[in-house]
Amino acid sequence: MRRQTVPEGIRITKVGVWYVLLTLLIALPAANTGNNSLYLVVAVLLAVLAVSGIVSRTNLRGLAVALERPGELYAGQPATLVFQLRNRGRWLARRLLEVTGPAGSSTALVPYLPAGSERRVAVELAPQRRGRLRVGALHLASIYPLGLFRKGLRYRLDEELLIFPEILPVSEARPGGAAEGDDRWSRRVGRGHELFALRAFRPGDDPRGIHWKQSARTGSLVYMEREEEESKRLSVVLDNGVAPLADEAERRLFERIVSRAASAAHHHLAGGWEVELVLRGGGVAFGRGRSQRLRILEALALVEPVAATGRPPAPADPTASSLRFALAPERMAV
Amino acid sequence: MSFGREKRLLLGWLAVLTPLPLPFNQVTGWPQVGLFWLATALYLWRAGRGEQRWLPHWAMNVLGLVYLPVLALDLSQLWRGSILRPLVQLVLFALAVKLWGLARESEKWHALLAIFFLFVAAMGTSVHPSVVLYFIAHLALTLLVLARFTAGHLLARHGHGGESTSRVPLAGFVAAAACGALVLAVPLFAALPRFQNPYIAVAGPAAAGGSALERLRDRLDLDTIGRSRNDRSVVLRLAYDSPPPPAHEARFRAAVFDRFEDNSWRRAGGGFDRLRRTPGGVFELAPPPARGWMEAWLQPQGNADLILPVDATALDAAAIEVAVRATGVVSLPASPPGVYNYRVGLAAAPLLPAAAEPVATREELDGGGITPEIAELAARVMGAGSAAERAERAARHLREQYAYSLELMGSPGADPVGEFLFRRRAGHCELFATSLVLMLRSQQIPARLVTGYLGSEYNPLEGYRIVRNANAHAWVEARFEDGWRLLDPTPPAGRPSATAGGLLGLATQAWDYLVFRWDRYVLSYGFYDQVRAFFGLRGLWLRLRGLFGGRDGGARQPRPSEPDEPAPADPEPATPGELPDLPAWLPLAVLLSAVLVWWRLRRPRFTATVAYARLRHRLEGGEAPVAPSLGPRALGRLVGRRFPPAAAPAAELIGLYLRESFGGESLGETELRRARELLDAALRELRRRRRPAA
Repeated sequence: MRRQTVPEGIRITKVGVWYVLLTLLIALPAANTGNNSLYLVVAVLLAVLAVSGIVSRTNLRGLAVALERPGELYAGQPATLVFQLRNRGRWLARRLLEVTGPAGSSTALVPYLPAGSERRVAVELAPQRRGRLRVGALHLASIYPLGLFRKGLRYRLDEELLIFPEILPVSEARPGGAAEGDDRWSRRVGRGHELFALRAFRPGDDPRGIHWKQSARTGSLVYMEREEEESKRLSVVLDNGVAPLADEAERRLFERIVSRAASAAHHHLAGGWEVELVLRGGGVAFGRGRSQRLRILEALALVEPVAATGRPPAPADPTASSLRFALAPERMAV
Repeated sequence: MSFGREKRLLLGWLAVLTPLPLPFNQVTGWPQVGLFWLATALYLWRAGRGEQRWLPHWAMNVLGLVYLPVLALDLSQLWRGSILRPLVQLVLFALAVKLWGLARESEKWHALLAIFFLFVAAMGTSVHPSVVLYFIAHLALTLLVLARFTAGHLLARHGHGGESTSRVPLAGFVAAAACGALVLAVPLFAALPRFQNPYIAVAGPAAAGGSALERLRDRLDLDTIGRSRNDRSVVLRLAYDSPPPPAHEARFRAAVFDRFEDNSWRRAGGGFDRLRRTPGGVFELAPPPARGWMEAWLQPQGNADLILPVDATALDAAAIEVAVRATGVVSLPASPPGVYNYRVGLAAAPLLPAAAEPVATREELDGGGITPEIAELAARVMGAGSAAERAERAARHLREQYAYSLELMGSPGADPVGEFLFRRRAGHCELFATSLVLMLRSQQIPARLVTGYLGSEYNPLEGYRIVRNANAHAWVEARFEDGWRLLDPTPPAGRPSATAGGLLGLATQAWDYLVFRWDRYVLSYGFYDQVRAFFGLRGLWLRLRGLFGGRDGGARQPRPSEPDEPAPADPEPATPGELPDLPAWLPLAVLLSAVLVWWRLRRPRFTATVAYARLRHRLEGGEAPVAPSLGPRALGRLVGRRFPPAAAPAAELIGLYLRESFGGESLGETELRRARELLDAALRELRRRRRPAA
């Protein structure tokens, strides 16, 4: 079994350096003169150093730590992680503990933790990326008792947090290619009578939607999307068949469209829509409400680029409105 | 950042305490320390009121410039040749000014540095064991100051700068840490390497000599010894290797006087011989072999003479050579700076120097102080016979016909000996001894007065004897055909008492025990003590092994046997590691068992989270790579894909783990037992290493 605590080393502080230097400074004349009173001073200085080390070690150990399950965490949004610290010791209080959560989180101070007591410690966290955030350990450090050394100890937690994609404002959540003020964002693709848009025919489209006149004119099949009328069903289609991504810029772009898809789903669900998420190799069926939002956000939090094999993702309900999010701008037609 | 009230107060109290031993050690005077305390008390008063205005830096600089002439005067005129005193006074001044000018956080370390210097100066010049109390107080206060500074630093860094550090209780830590540091310091002190002989910075009364008696070695008034009768200070401590015979009289020679002028004695002159060690490593003082040995610890006396028992026959002292005067007094090459330790071989009877010259010297028959009345008394009392018989008659006459009294103390008059012999017929030991010397000399028997110590006080706390100034005594040595002989004319009732009883006596002995320990094991602790301690520990270890039946213990010592005695038959050879050695390893086994039990007990309590961690660890260490980012559900699916038989227990276990970790509920005993069963089942299936189904 792995150890529950892992030492994180010890670092001497500026005060500690001075302390050691002064100890040496007294040790030299003591050895040179044979003055036992000075030897006594040196012995006590060294003993204080040892006691400081023992107290420091004891101060960091003997704790039980746990992570309180946080609420929803979104990439790019500050959040608070709350840890529970319990002093398992029967006699000794713990003092001046500096608590740090996962990488990037802030540090909080626990000034005093009596024996057998428990305390909640909140650290600030601003996750930068969606996905799983592993909270492998809680880092404790302290310069207690005398400020001579800074000692650290890691408590294993083996926890994971799910970071949802960043939720963008409505104005930024449009699919790529949709310009500001474009009323297609407010109008929905659906099964009404009004023309919503013309686009290239894609395999899987209803052949009844082919605009034959335009097809004859252009020489290729043109598909006619109609505007939704009464239905409030939306398919959020995210084509994640973009692997491999060429570079970091493409990676960022992919993250951006994931955020847009999540934002679209989020805003529509907030508006009372029934939303499905369509991905390559999975998705979330139509649903509404908070639980549906969490399901979609969880799926989008974990979505990864896959190879573009097989048919592109298509809405389960062709009659429902749909928003399509894809990496290539020419494939971002709505 | 401005300097807080709390830190000012802490530094102030530490500064008040620090110079306390300095005036006692005569490193600096009381007026200087008094001024410092006055400045610090005012500082504490202002700091306690939360004053915000303190000395600006320019004022501190001006004060520093003002002190420069004082420093120059200190160095060049007042304390020429001594750097420590001007330096300590400079630091006292600088510390007071710094306290009044504390403005920035970093300046507290400057003040602490000055306090540390003063503390080292105070400790380095202290020889009295009461300095331990100061040391403990200073240690506790320093620990409190450092811990409070640390708390203040962290609180300020985390945005609680305005709060008092008292929200972090530190009293328990300070007490425990001070005790722990003192306990740890003892072996550290003993083990720190010693490269030089112990140096003791003697200050105060000890520097000028241990007692009035010792300070007046060249001239002895007739009241000197009488005055020291109430002086309980220690001169000599001694421990016999084997208990002396019950009738043994502990009598120690300190000085010999042979000229009596103006009612006072002058020290005997004469040459001296340099004595070197014999091949046996000791200084041989007299031919008879030693019947036993004693160890002595002589307090600083301000001179190089050793105080030896009258039956000393050999001396073992840490000196290249010693000088032996014609009177038999043994001197070191130089006055020892602190407690001086030596061993003395003892003969069966008092050994006085043999008469080197066949004819008495002028000093031995010096007629100073002899009056016709004394000569007439001597002739009448001593009668006829050999010189030894006549001398003994004179001594007996004084012992039996005269009384011991301290009444003449302080008012000797123009003729104290005549007053003693013919009018009061009572006096103290110096008068008895002086009278006998004069009587013997009036009858042409060479004689001299000897001062020293008679009797000792047994300290039952450690089994050593204490010779105090109250044991000071005077007696006579007379020269006969066969050499010098000791005569003590003082009545037995007037000789120094040997013991001090009662509660006060016990308390005195307890205090002396502490002082002796301090002198012996702290101040004069050196390299040879370290070697002794090492061999002592080794012997203890061997005895322990012997106690438990080990081979290196007492049983290993071969029993001496007669040459013609047949060698005992070898016992049945034991296989190494068999029963005879087993007890020796018993303590080790008990220790290991205790460590094992402790380790088992300190393991974390079994929970579903622990079970999940074990399962995950097992998978990470196995054939199936597990990404660190893999969540619990995904892990369950992974197990299902790769180890189908383990899928069900793993999934149920993960369910329990999620309930415990994310469901906000604690699992009951039944569920924890179930988690353990599931973990065992899953691990069992994983161990079977079935081929992955997919």
